[in-house]
Amino acid sequence: MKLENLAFGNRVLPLILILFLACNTLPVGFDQIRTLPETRTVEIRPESTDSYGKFVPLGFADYLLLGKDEQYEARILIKFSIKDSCLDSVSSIRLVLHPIDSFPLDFFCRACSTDWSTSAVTWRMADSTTQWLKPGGDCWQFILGQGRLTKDSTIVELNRDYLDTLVRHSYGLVLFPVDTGFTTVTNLTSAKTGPRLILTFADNKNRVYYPAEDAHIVDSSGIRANPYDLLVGSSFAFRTYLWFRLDSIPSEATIARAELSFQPQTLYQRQDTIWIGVHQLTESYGAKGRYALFQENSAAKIAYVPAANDTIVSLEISRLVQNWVSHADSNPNYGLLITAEPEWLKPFRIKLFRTGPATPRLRIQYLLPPEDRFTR
Amino acid sequence: MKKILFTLTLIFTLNPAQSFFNLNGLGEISPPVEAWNAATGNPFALSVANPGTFIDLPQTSLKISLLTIGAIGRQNNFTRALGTVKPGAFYGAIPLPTRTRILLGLDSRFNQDFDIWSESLADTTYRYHIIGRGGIYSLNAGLAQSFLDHLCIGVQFHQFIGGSRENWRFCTPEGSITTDTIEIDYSSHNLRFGTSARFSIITIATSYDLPLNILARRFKLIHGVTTDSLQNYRIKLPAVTTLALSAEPVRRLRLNGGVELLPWSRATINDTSSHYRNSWRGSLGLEYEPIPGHPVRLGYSFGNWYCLNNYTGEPIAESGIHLGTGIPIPKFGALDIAGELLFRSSQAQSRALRETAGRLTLTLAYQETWAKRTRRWGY
Repeated sequence: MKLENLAFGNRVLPLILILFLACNTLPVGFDQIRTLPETRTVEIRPESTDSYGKFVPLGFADYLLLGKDEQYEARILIKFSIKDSCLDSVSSIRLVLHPIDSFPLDFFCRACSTDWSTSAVTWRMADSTTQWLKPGGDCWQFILGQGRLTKDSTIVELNRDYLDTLVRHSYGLVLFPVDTGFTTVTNLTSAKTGPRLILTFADNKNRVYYPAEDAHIVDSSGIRANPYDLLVGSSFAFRTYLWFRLDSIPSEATIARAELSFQPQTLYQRQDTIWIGVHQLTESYGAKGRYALFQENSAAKIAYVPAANDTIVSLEISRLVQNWVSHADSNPNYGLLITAEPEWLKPFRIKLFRTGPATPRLRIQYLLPPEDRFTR
Repeated sequence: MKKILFTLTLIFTLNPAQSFFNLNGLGEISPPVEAWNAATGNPFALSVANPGTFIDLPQTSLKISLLTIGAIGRQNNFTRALGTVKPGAFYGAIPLPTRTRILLGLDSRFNQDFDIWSESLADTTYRYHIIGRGGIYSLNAGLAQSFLDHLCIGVQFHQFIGGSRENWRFCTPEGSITTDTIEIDYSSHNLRFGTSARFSIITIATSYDLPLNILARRFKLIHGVTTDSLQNYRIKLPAVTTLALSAEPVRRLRLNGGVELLPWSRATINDTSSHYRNSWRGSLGLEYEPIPGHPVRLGYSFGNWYCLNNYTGEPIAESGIHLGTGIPIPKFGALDIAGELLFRSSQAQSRALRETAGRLTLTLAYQETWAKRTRRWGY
C-alpha cells in the first residue's frame, strides 16, 4: 500500500503535470504539409481620387447647433403646430430652450416664411424639391425675440404683436446667432428638455406647445478650400473618393486583413474626437460624379483624437475588399467614399494628401486556398 | 491497485491523441479495436475482423469497444500532446445450426484526425491552425462456416463510408478566421475472405481483402469567397493479405505471431501513382493465465506505414508494446482491457517528427447461450 502511494504521489502526478504542459500550440508535425497555402501582402495606392462638398440634411442630429465663426454658420429651425382659434386671449408667448453646452451665445429669432421638412432641409433647400429664396432660410423681416443661451434653460419672450403672422403665415422659427462661437441645444427627441413654446392666456392659464419638427442648417461659405484638396468633413459634408486597383488579387483569395490608412491634417474641428467612416460606392463615380450612390451603412468607421500631424488613421475593410475581389460581378469595385460618420456632427474638416508618405494606402494580406490531402 | 488503475485510465483519458502523421495519405490505418487482440500485438488474422476465425462459436458473441487514443509528438525540441476518446468498434457473431455463423461489425479503417499549429509565417506572429476530423469506417456483414472443429472459412462484405473535415484557421494577434474548409466524403465496398485451420496445438489463420476502389468526393469551401470547388478522386488500393499463427504449447499459455502485407506501391489516385509504398506489419504476443479467469497478455509489434513522412521523404517506422488483461463478468461475459504504446518515427534526423502514441481499449464482451426450453409435463 505504501508503494502504491509512493508511485501515485511521486511519479504519477508529475507525469500528469507534464502531460498537461504538453497541451500547447507548438508547431509539432506541421512539416507534414508539403505545400503551404500561399500568403501575400500587397500595398496599393489609390489610382483615382476626388473630393467634393455638399449640403446635407442635419435634421436627424442628436442636437441642434447654433453659432458662427469665420468659416461656418449654423442656424436652428423649429416648427410648432399652434391652433389659431385661441390667439385673441394670449397675453404672452415664450420660447424655452435647453442648452447642452455651457458656452453663452446671443441670438435672435424670426418667423420662417417658407415651409420646410426635417428630413431634407439644408442651407440651400427647404425640402427635397424647394429651394430657399435666400440661402439659410426665408424669414419675415421682423424680429420675434432675442435672448442669450446660457446654462440650464433659456426663456425668450416673443413679441406678441406678430403672433398672428407666426401662427397663420409662418412655418416655425429660425434662430440666428449673433456672436461668434457655437453652442448646442436639445431637440424634440428630449421629452423633458426639448424646445417648447408656452402661451399664457388672459386668465393666467398656460398652454405648452412642443415642436412638430426641428433641424439645424449649416453654411460653409467662409471656407476657401483648394478644389484639389481631398477633404473629409461634417455639418457641411466633405467627402473623399478613392479607387484602388485590385486586379492583382486572385478571386479565390481569402482576405485576411485589408487596412486603409492615411495621415490626415486637421484643418478645423469643433470637438475633440473626430469620427470618420468608409462607404462602398454602388455606382460609378467616373460616370455620376458626386451623385454616385453609396451604401448608407459604413463598411468601417473609426474615432480618433487628432494629437499631432503624425496621427495615422487606419480602417479595417477586409469584408469590403473580399466582396470586391470574390464577387466582382455582383459587387463591382466602384471605389469608396471617406465621410464624416455621421455627417451631422459638429463641424470638422480634415485634409488627406494626394502624394507623399501620408497619402491613403490600402494594405491587403491575403491567403490562397490550401491543397487537400491528395494533392498537397 | 485501484488507484494505479484509475491513474493509468486518467492519464490516457486526459492525454489521448491522434497521430501527427495523419496528414499523410489516407491517414493512420486503424487496427481492429478489440482489447483481447490488441493486448497480444494485434495480429489481424486472429482478430474478430477476420471472418475465418470462428472455428468455435458456441454462443452469440457481441463485443463493443471504447477507444482512447493519444499521442505526444516531439520535433525541434518542441513537445505537444493531442488526443481523443471515442467509440472503437462493434463486432457480433451469431451461431446458427449446421455450424454456420452470421457476422456483423462496425469499425474504423482509416483515422484522419489531427490538430496542427504552424510556425509563425514570414517573420510575423500569424500562424495557421489546422484541425482535421474524420476517417473511413466499415459497416460489414458476413457468413462463416466451420467444418469438423478444425477448419473455418468466411466471407464478409464491407460497405465503406466516412468523411473528413479540415478547417484551416488563420490566426493573428487580433483573432482568428476560418479561411478554408476541405470536406472529403468517401464511399466504397469490398469483400474480405478469411480462413483458419486448427491442428492440435497450432492454429493458422489468414485473410485476404480484395483490391479496394474508393471514391473520394472533395468539397473545398473558401469562406471569404463562399464558393465550393468540387473534385473527385478515384483511389485504388491493392489487395491486403494477413497471416497469423497461434500455438498453445502448455496449458494456460498461448503464443501468437502475425504479419500483414500491404503492397501499396501500386496504389493509384486518379490513375496516377499515389507514391505510397509497400508496407508490412509483424507482431508477437502471448497470453498467460496464472489465475483462472485473470489472464495476462503481452505483445510486441513492428512495421512501417504505407505513406512517407512528407518532410523527410522517409518511411514512417512504427513499433509497439502491448499489454492487457481481462476481468470476467459473471452471467454476462468479460471486460477486456488493453494498453498499447506505439513509437513512430522516420529516419533519425534530429529535426524529424517523432511520436509516442498510446491506445487504451476497453472491450465489453457479451456471451449468450441460445437457451432451449424443455417442456415438462406433470406439474
